[in-house]
Amino acid sequence: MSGGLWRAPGRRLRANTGAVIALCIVVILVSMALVGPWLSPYDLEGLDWSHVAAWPGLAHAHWFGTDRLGRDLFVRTLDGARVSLAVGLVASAVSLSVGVSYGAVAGYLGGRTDRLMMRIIEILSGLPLIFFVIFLTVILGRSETLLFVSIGAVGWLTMARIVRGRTLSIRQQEFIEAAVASGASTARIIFKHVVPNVLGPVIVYATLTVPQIILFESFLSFLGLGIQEPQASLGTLIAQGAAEMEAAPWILLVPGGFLALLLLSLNILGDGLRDALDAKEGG
Amino acid sequence: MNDSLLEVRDLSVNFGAFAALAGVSFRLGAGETLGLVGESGSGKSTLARALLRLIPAARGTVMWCGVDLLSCGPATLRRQRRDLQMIFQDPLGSLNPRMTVGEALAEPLVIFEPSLAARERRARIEEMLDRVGLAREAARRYPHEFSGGQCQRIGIARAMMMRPKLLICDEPVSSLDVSIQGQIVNLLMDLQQEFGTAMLFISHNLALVRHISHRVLVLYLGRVVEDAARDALFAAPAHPYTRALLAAVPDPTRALSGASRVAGDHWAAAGEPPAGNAVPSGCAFRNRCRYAEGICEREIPQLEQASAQHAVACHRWRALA
Amino acid sequence: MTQRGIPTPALSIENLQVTYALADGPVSAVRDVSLTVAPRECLGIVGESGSGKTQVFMAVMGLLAGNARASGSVRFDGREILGLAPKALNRIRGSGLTMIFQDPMTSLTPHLKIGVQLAEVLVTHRGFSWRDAMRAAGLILERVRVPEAQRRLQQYPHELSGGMRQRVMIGMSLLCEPKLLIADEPTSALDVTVQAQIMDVLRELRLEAAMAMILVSHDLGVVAGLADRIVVMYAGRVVEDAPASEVLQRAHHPYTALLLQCVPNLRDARLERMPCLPGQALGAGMQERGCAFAPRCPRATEQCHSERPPLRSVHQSVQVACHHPLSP
Repeated sequence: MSGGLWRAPGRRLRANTGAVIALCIVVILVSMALVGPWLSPYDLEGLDWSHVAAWPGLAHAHWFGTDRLGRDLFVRTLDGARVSLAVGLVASAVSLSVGVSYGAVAGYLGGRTDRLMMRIIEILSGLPLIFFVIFLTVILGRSETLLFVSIGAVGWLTMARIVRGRTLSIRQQEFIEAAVASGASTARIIFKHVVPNVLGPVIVYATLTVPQIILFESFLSFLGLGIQEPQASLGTLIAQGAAEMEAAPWILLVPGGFLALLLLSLNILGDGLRDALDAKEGG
Repeated sequence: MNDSLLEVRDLSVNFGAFAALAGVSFRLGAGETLGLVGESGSGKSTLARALLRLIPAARGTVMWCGVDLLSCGPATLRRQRRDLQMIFQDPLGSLNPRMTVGEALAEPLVIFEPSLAARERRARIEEMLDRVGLAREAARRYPHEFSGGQCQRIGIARAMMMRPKLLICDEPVSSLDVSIQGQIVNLLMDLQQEFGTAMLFISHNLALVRHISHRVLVLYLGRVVEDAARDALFAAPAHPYTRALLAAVPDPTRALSGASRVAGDHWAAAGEPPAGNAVPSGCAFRNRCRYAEGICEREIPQLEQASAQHAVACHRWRALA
Repeated sequence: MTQRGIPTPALSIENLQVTYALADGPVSAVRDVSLTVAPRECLGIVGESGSGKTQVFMAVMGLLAGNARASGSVRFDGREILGLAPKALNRIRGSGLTMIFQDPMTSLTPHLKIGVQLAEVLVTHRGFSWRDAMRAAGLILERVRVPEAQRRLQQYPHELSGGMRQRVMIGMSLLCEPKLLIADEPTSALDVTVQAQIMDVLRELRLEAAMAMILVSHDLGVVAGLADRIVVMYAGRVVEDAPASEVLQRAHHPYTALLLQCVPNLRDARLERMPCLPGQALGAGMQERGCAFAPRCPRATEQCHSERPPLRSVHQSVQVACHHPLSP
């Protein structure tokens, strides 16, 4: 796929000021998360006893202050953001590939297969996920694998439904009939003809899935079910900050603000993408 | 009549209780063009799709090179598709919007000749683009960048990539401007000349059918009402519906002579085809036909040979000849 | 009536331009079109895709899309209507000036009975009572030869066939006894046999009603059966404007002559190759250089490629836009 198809949506996106600003903010935040920790003289776990619970400032080079143990918040926040983003992206990628394949196959094959596959999704959607995760944690103990599994379980269900819906309408179109008439196998039709044409809503939903997953991960970590000490994620940092809220508010505000800004920008960008792609998606 | 390429016997397709096609039978020889004429509700598009098993048939056989396409296994069917290709009514809609023209043309090669080297594949694609009158650099562009006529050329190129023995054309030029239709029809005839491809040309446009066909089949509400060699059909149509069709074509020269100023032409069929559920008993055409009689209400007319190359399904054809 | 005793044209279009503001830049759909329709005259407008023929009448009826701009003058019965406020335009539309379209299904409200939709026109525009309006609706259906008119009044649009719906649309447009009926591709979506019936209905109306008619079509055969005069459009401009008999027997513009050859004809002997025009029409956004038809014209010269031919009278009542018109 080359420029020809993405030029018009690209232009529409550039014209959407809100989305462009959101995109810039996301880029800035991500760059900070990747590069930031190297700029600071401090590291993730180092304890600075001379600056315990210190206010953010320039003098002591703790730009975001320190926490109760004297750890630098700048490095920890950005590192935590990196972890959250990594989890968000990897889990999104997994849920995307699973969801798209599942939905395309169900939508294209139709009939009993479709009904069965949709029934499975309905059952899974019905499970109260948090209780499920807590239950598993109690049984199996805390682990990061569990975190990925439970997060993966969140994203793909809705993606599969969306893709199935789009597939049902694309299936009626003449180029699909032409592909069948040309002798293409079912697998080829699903992955070369159906999937590329459902990408519009998929891209939009993926950008909205990433913040959703990051939030879920943060929530699990906040509850103590996800990322463990001393590794930081935005969720664990927020949990720690919540305890210190009155005495040292920045310990909560810095990671909390970062998370909020990241999620807000991703959501606005997602909306902008949908508007840009929607006008093109005429079937 | 000896070894036909395609022999269809008693093909019937139902959509629920509604019979879209009932007992259609015909033959097609190699390199021959069979024109299929009908209006809305005639079942002509249904026939094209049923032949290729794109929709399920209720009854009947489609003998193609010794294989019954309707009952063979899916792998055999897919192998046969190499020689059975189709072009569609909506030129743009029949092309995947997310594939470049080159990718669309490469697909048949990838499916049927997977061991072909990329360079050889590209050469074949360029050769085909030349043959259908498109620039070579079109391979890099997307369908929406082309006009309707050009998209249809792409569709034809795609269909002809494997040099099929039969090309089914489902109203291929109906959505194109009149001045462009001739370009596509001439292209099809040139390709037939060059590759010896047989064609099933489906259209409601009688003049097009007259131009391109060797033989013509007329369909009405899912049944064959007339099957004749082209010249015989147009010079001496036997079925009242065929006569009505021919008379209904607006003709500028006739307009001038004042003939069509008189309201209503003798032969024009009254009323419209009944909605699916209300097909009349006996002959489906009888409630629009000037010549209907008692027997037309009681019995469905079967195809009878009026002469060597001319069959008609009408109880009264002898009287009307 | 004007001073010289020449009746006011039913419709008079002068220098009409329609431009669309698209993301890639402005696109001209209609570039300077002028034509007139006399009262009781039937004018046929012929053109293929990109000719702008539908856009002309969308502009006349005030139905252009939001991003389109029309300039020039459109006079209906002497009164300027281009750019008229919606309320004033509504009073004229539907009563004096009506239009029917290619697809009657989208013009009819799906959830209202036919009778109600017809009666509503009379109640709104002529102040009829519902009872009188329903009676008139039944009468108009009979006039357009709808069988079992009373039963049809109680039916919904989806219960009628395509041809029947088109008759209803024609009937609806006649209710207020308009001065002008514009029919945009009224038979294109119909079967050939049904098309012939609708043509008959329109032909009878021509004879009975004191009404002017404009028939827009890509099919010269359809237009030839009805029109007194024919206007041929290409790439947003008028290229020929002549009486129907002239156009059909002695076309002056090369495009018209070629188009005539392409009209499906069952009478003449079969030709080896189907007549057609090479290449394709000027794309919507493309710039004109000289005559828009020159790239496809067998008679084009240097002058044709550089200088655009104006619409000129070649003799009485015949106008052609060509540097080298065919001289019959």
